[in-house]
Amino acid sequence: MDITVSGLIKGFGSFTALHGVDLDIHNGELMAILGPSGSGKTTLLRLLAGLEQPDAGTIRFGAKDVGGNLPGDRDVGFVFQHYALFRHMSVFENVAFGLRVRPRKTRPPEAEIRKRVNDLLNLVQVDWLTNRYPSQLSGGQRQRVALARALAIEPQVLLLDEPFGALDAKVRRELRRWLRDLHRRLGMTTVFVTHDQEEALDLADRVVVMGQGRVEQIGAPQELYDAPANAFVYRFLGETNELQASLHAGRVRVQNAPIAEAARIDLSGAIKEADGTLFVRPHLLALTPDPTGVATVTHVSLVGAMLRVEVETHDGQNLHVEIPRGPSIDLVPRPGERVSLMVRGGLFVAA
Amino acid sequence: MTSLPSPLDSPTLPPSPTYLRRWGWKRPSVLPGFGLTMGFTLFWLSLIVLIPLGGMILKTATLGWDAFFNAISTPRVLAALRLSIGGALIAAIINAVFGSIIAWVLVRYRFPGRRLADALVDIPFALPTAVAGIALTTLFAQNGWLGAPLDKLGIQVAYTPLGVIVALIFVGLPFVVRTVQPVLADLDPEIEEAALCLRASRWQTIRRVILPSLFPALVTGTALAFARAVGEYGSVIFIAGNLPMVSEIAPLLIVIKLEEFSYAEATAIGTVMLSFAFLMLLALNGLQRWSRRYEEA
Amino acid sequence: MMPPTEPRWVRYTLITVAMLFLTGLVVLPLLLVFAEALRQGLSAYFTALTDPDAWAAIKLTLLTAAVAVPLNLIFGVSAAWAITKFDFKGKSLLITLIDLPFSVSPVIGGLIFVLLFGLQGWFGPWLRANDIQILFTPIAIILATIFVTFPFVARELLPLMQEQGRQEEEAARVLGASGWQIFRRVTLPNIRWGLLYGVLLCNARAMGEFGAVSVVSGHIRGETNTMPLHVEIMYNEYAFTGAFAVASLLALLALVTLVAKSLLDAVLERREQRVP
Repeated sequence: MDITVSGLIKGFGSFTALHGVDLDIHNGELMAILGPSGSGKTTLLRLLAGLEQPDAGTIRFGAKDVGGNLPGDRDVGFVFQHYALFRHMSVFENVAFGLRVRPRKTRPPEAEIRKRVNDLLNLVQVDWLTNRYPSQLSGGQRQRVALARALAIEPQVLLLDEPFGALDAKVRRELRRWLRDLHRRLGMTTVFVTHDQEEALDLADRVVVMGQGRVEQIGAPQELYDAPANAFVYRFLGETNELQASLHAGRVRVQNAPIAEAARIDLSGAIKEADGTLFVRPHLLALTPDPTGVATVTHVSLVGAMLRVEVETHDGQNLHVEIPRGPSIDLVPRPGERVSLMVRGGLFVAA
Repeated sequence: MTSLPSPLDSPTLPPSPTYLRRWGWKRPSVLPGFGLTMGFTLFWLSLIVLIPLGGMILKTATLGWDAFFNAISTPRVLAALRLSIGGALIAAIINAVFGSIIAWVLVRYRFPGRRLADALVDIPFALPTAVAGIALTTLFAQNGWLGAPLDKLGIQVAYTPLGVIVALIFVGLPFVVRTVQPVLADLDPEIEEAALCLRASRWQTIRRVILPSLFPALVTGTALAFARAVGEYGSVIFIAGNLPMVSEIAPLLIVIKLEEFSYAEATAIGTVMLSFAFLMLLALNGLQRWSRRYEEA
Repeated sequence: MMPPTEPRWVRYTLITVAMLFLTGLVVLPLLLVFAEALRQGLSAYFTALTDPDAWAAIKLTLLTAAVAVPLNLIFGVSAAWAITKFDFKGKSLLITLIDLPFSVSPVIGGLIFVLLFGLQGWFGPWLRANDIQILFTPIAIILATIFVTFPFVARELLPLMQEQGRQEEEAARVLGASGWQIFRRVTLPNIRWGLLYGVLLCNARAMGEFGAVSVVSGHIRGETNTMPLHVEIMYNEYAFTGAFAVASLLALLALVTLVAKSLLDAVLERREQRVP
């Protein structure tokens, strides 16, 4: 089911949550809506589900405008952030609920309900918890039950609000992998909301980055990471250093020294002469030992595949540098050592 | 971070006629039944509460200011109002002291019979006022279980203003205990331990840490007990003796005026008491907001 | 672990003070009701209860509660649904108005109906012209009772439903449930204990109400006397056994209500503990 959203506006009292959002979601796609809290991402998801009504704009599922449809008539499965499991019903009854409340005409017979619920519980691998109550489940188990409940009504679209938000780190990673497999198997159009950029980039086919009620950029994960459209996206996705810089005759200069020709600097449409900021990812900074260099090493972290080095430039800026770690530890810089820095790529934004 | 002009500063919003409409008095919701439930709520509220109370206020309005003022400024009415309000105030203060002690003991100490004592606190709330009235009167009468020993000490309770106060203490007690108790139970033991680590004495801890945290609940509970006691009727009239100017409470005076068919005077006293109750309710709402001011949103 | 505590003598003094206060003010009156009721033996007690006037009072009290409680139950659920499941302006004013009968004197709860239906009241002349009597009939007693018990169910439900939020109902909506199905299958099971408790309190107050009912009843024996009014009349006629016998039934009602409340609390506590 393709979803087309255009010109979506939504306010709550005097607060505007969405300032006109346009978005296309392709059939079968796994899409992430990524943004900090207050960016309107959950509002967008609730509008898609029909849990809120937009002030303006349209939402189409396929060719059909679903604007006036209540959530029950949209063929969406919705997984709430805190799951919203019915606390007085067993796992089985929770999953069966969507089938049992159908009008008698379309309600499947009891035997089929049983079979379908059991299949779903198998699918989400909690069939051994059938008779437990939500309060007796762990967070990860609740998540799976909530998903099974959403899938029971055979939705065309699956919507998940911060699906891993309430889980601890290890369960998170495990469920993430599992959700990706499940999506591959079911091939259902799936949209999830998250504030965790790693989660979005790792899981989604495409990511919508939102900030303050607007779409900042839409793209495949790598596209977003390597070519952020603006400072907001740059800051939000991954770590970044921000250097005061200026643009002269098409060359970006930091502290009046031009940056090497070889560096890939995105000018984001800036014109010839301007002051501004140069965004540089930690792995796009290189450092070489140099007793006359502009920076001093202040801290070195040796854990993992990357060396994380913090340096302070002589004008007081703190920068992060990431260097792939070699097999030997001889080449590791030490705190106090002077180094010179080289920029290998980044984004220049005019002030 | 270096400051940047926000890249988010808007491209202008698309003009949209519905953009500013948003919600008028009710936020749209996907849940059903608002019209039905709200309609019935307002209908029933109007029928049972608003129209009858409005009728009384309207009646007062037709009296005119002079008649109203004359009705409520007779010495007998003033004495009754003074007794109802003053007695309720004294009872509420006594309840504040003993209610806090009871709440403290029930929450902090373990002793045999604690659960029973805890359940007994609700009795004044559940026992019909007429039953409480005749029981307290018999108990404190000159030959009663408590009245007899007190009489030997020269203290008369039944059929005096003191009796009124005893009855009002009875009806107000659960309000103080049940307001203070949960707050006391939720008080984090760590803050007391922190005070201990900062070398505060036990008494200092109670006075400077625990009491200030309890204070809003204590004030709210006392105000609730006071509000309830001002209008109390059933438990008081048996023990009061109902001597005009001495031990006659305002609600009883309303009843007497009605029996004398002096509707105007009854209505005037009723309106004064209603206004007082409404003010108390507003004050209590304010109190509740104030008492939650340290809570995290 | 218990937090830091006081010296032993302080604890014992406080416990003693608290228990003496409770005993003198609560336990003794309660015991006294039963002692006085049975003072002249069991047969006198049952004679007092089977007196035709007492019996009529009991029946009227049951009738009053049977009408007032269900109506206020429906109202309480309606009001709690409208208030907690939706956002609208004027909500706190609405809550204050619902609370109002709780804070006005019960006598006023009777007075207002006298002013509406009495001879000098707003509808008095019209009622008289059409030969309809409301004041001094069970109808007025029921109306006054509805007034004083008005907020009970709503007050129990409001905090409970507020705390439970709307997500489960929204989830049911997404799964295609209708309004009635949402209430019946999702909301009601979650609030049933609180609802039951509200009904119990409402019932206790409805059966025990004195002030409001006393004003509108006219004290017609065998016709418009409820149990508390019967207690008053007997007591004022120095028929103490008769008064305390009926009073003991009302006291039993209060005790049963409180025991039921403790049981409900225990159920709720156990449910809370199940949540990890």
